[in-house]
Amino acid sequence: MKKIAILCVEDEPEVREAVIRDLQPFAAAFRIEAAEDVADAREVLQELAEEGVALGLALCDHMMPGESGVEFLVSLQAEAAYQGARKVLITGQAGLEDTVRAVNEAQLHHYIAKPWQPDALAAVVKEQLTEYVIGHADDLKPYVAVLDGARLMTEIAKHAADK
Amino acid sequence: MSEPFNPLQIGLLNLTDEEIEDGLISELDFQLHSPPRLSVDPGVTLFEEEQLLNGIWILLEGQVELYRRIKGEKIIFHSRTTGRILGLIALARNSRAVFSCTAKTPLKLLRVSNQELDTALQQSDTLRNLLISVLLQSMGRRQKRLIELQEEVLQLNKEIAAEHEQVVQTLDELQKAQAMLVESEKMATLGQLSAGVAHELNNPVAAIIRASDFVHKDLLTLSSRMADGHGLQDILERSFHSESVSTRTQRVLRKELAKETADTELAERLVKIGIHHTAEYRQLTADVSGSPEEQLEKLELYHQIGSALRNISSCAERISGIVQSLRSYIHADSPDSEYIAVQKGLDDTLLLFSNRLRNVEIEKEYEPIPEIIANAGELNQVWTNIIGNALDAMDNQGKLIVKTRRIDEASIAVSIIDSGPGIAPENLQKIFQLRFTTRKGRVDFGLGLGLSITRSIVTRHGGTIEVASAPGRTEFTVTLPVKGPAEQVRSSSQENAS
Repeated sequence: MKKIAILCVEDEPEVREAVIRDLQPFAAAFRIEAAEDVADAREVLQELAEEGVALGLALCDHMMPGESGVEFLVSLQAEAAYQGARKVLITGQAGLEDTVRAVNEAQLHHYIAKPWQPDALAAVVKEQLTEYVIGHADDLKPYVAVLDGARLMTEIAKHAADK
Repeated sequence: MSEPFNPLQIGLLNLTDEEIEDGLISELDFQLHSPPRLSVDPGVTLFEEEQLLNGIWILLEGQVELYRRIKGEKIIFHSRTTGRILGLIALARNSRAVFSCTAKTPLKLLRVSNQELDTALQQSDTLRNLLISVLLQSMGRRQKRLIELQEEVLQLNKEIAAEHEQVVQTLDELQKAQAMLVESEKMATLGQLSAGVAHELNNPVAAIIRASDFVHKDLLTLSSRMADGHGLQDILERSFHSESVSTRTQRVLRKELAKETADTELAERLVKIGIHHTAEYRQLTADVSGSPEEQLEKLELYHQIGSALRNISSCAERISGIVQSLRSYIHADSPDSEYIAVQKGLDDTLLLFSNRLRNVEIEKEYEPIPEIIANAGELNQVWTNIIGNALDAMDNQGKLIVKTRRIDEASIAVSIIDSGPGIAPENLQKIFQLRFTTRKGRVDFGLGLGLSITRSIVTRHGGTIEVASAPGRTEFTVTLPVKGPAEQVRSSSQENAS
């Protein structure tokens, strides 16, 4: 079973579908979940927790009905279970003030402007998830094929040497 | 030396200036035995200011010009200031001339040196009395003139102060007018730009809509020629026409289907392509060739194509809707004033604000109202300013009520009510002033000109704008005449514009 999830929070169905499809290369090793607003995202987190799946990457729109993406990311940072999760904003509408808050209070790792380029999105996700699995996964081998293989192999070799 | 001087006693001072001067001149003439008269041509300068005179000039015929140079400028004095005896004051100033004196017309003059005057005065008490009288009168005249001048100075100072006030006020008004012009010029430029952009967007959007339609049709034709095309067409059409399912519902469906299939992975993939029951899946794959995995992959591909086509066309429709609203908002193609539907303008404005309305509950209470004569573009600016301010005040969340109602045969009213914190009573009077803003230090569009421009547009349309505010409810009401502004309003606003 896949132990790490990517969560995409986006209110517009067309955009959500497109992001999810662009994330498909990662589907082989990661659970991909979509949520249409922050409340929905929290339900997803609840379900993931119940199933023992960790949140590896939150990919969030900013302007949504209800809570904003930045607020969601800030609230994630406040919970021990999600502090390690990589946090990326994908938005066309976050102003300077919100972005600064995301960086300072949510440890935002990356900002992707809409419209996004699929290659660039994939590169960001790959880099972020590589960081995450190196820090959090017990076994890096399942991720070598979809993430930054060279880095992961180096890490694996280091671990082997340590032992 | 005979009798002492007593001009009052001899009644000299009761005579007119002219008479005393005449007396003095004839007595002097007599005492000096009619000295020769001097003739002077116009333009000849008799003496310059501060020049030593050593005597007086008596003007028998003609006119002179008296002047002083102050900071290089020639100031001309009234010739009545001195009378016909020139150099009298100089007698008391070490003989230095106060004015410069130039002949204006041909002159006949008598020149009396200080020595001659002295001699004559010693000889004639009458002359002495006359001279003292002339001096007294001259002093009196000058004193009177001095008082008048002081009064004039006071008056002039007052006028200058008033004029200064006026100038300051005018300058202030000019600055305001300039700021408004700049703002409206900016709006006009923005309007033209957006009209251009909107127009340019129409073609690509139309092409996108058509192209996606072509791809759709061609794919259907292509798949109809394949042996297992029927089931694939079905899934493509289903995905194209299906409404998007909420992520919550998808999770519920996934769980339910997982019970049926006993395979979470499969359930997830099926729900994703819009299949919610195993029976449905069996039916769709009935005539699709290949292994179960191949079948599922084909279905997934056709589903993806169907939903991508749906997304292309729904998003293109949205762009096209925004473009239309933008065009009708700016009213690129319409004349200055015409019959317009106020509610449409309000709807266009709300649509263009939609990115700020995600967390705002909108309540429209549209009573039927007639179309009114107005400039659609300008009225849209009014709605934009009021709604924009309301959203600022509410921080883009809360409730916004937009009402239209008919007041009577001749007028309608539009109310825009927000649930923001309200306007402080001390600010209520100021909000229509230029550059009044509560958006401290925030870089926003607008310079605090919004409501001031709003009011001037409404006034130009012959309407009124009012505001009532309490915490949680701020209501702007714009009243507009149905038949446009009355003639005098229109002409006076044209004067202002010209």
